[in-house]
Amino acid sequence: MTAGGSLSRTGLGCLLAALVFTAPVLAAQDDSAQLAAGAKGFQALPQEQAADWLKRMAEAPFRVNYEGVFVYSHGESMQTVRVSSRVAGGTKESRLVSMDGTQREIRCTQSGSVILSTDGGGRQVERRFSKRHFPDIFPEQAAQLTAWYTVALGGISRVAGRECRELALIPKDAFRWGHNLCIDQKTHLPLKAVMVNESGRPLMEHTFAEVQIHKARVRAVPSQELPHALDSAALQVRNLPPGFTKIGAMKRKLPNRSDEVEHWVFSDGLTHISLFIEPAAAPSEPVKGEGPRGMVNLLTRQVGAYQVTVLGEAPWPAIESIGLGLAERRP
Amino acid sequence: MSERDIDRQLVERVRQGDKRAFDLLVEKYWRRLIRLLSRMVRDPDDVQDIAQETFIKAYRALPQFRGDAAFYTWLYRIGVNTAKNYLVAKGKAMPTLSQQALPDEDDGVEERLAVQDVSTPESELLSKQVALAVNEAVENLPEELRTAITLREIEGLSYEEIANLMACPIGTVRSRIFRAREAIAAKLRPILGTSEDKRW
Amino acid sequence: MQPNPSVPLQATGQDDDGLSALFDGELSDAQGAALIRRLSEDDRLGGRWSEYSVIGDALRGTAYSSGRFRARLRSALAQEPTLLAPVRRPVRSHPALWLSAAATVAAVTWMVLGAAPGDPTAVEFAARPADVNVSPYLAAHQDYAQALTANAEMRFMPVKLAIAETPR
Repeated sequence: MTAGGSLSRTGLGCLLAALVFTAPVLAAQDDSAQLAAGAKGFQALPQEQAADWLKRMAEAPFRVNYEGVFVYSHGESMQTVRVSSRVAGGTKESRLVSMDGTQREIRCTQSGSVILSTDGGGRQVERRFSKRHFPDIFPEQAAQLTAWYTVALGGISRVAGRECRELALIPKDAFRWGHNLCIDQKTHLPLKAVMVNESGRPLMEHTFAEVQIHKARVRAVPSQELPHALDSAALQVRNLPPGFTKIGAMKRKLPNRSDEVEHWVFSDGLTHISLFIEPAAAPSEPVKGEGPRGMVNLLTRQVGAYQVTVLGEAPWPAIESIGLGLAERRP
Repeated sequence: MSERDIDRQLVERVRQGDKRAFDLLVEKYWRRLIRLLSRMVRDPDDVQDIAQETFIKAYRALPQFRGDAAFYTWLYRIGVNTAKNYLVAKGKAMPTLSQQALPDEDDGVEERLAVQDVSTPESELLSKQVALAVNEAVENLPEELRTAITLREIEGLSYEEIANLMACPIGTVRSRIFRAREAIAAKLRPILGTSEDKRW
Repeated sequence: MQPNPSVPLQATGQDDDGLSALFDGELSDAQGAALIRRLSEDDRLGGRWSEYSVIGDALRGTAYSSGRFRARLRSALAQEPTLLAPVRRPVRSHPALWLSAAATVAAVTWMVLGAAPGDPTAVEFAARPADVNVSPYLAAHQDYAQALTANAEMRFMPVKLAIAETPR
């Protein structure tokens, strides 16, 4: 018996010859979400089932206690984070610790989150405006995402030693990125989340390396997201991409700067775009910015007496449409 | 797409100080290296010495490895150079070998059993048994598993290339190759006297 | 390793195809990093890695050799000092932000180009390199958004927007 391959070379040659002229099945850039879903081996779900899956994924972080390590990667940049989350007294508390040398920890509760850092000497405490983090990535009203994303179900996979179901959120338009997820079979907690562009290319990824998940005895209730109103808005936002609403607005200082700016946040539930408004320093032309892999896009321009900066992990059309639809509010 | 950076993640781990990651790379390539070297060098003891020195050199040179070639190509180049220097130092002749020669895994020629730690009838028998068990196991695989593992291990194709050829999703390719490996490994274990739990 | 027919055959273990994919270099960066971490600690995974290597070699007709070479090499490598390659910063001069707030900022030069008024073809290079930080905006954005960190490196270019530029 030859010690070589058992598929004879002629046999393999025939196989290759027969298949090399077949049209490629992996259609990468087709408009139809159905075809895209089917080509990748995914089944698009009807609205009801899609909403059901989204609901379960959104509730999962409130029904379990979990502890683990996940890896975040974006281009060449990678971070390892230890995370633990606990449901107690009807609320959820979590803690994230960087494992890459920076002495930084975030503590999140229902009322907000706090960053503790120990950078050479003293301990610093800073407020952070969001209490969300992987794997708690879905908004409370997650079912509404079906208006903007097709939900497609894939096969079973394994992440961190646990069985999980592949699930794709395919954008219905060009205003948002897609998300490919792997959802824990037992608890529906996302174990892997990859933000992808229109060609399916990964933009950023969160993956658990190890995780323990236990069902909590009593589930927590997510706190109400209070509507934010901004009183003396200098500008009107006249144009938002479909599905985006204002979820936050505040006057704040930017890190390492002393002046105050207005910071508004728009979201469709998964995608976040920020708008910053400040007095214009000097007349300038509009400038567009693009981050690695095109994940983050930015526009800065002058509107009247103000310098406006729009940026987010969203395709350029979303950034542009917000940036274009700004006007000074007439007194 | 033949020169993919297959082992980049492992190399990166080694550079960050994880010696066990280098162990994984060794485990993956050491028999191939020995096979290559034994085409150039007759004496099995020499081959082992050269192979050992090659891995040590590669480990030390990793910080300078720029990743502009595949790791195993870089490793083999070190191997060829080490072999040449070794033989020169020992005053031995070396069969003519093209400077550009890169490892050719699938020339389909039945190799004489190249190197054994100790060339005994027992070790030669074991080697034959392993080859037999693996090939039998592959013959008995369902066709799509057999095709997938063959395209990967013998033709050296990427999952994407295999997916295009087999007209199936990449995830299916990945699963088929995994299942093929598991089925073959199950047939191997009794011969090697290992259980799944033991570290080799 | 001598054959030992008295060792019972164990049932197949975890159905984790990640190791197989890692062996073929087909895992994403994050997944690869995650699995390599586990591999360092899990001997059972290490055993399977070895099996995959034997299988591939056998398919290509490489003779099987047992462990004496490996044992020798292992002890030789144990003598080697641990590598401490300089950690390659993914972004040369822009450190990765992590949960922003007190992130160190890096200046980015913005080249601003403008067209001479009334002349659509000529582009006047009114290059006004203003050192503007994009990092504080990105950091503030991440305070609110999901991403824990992002690369602050960006490419900038002028853009023509389809609106009247006359100030109100």
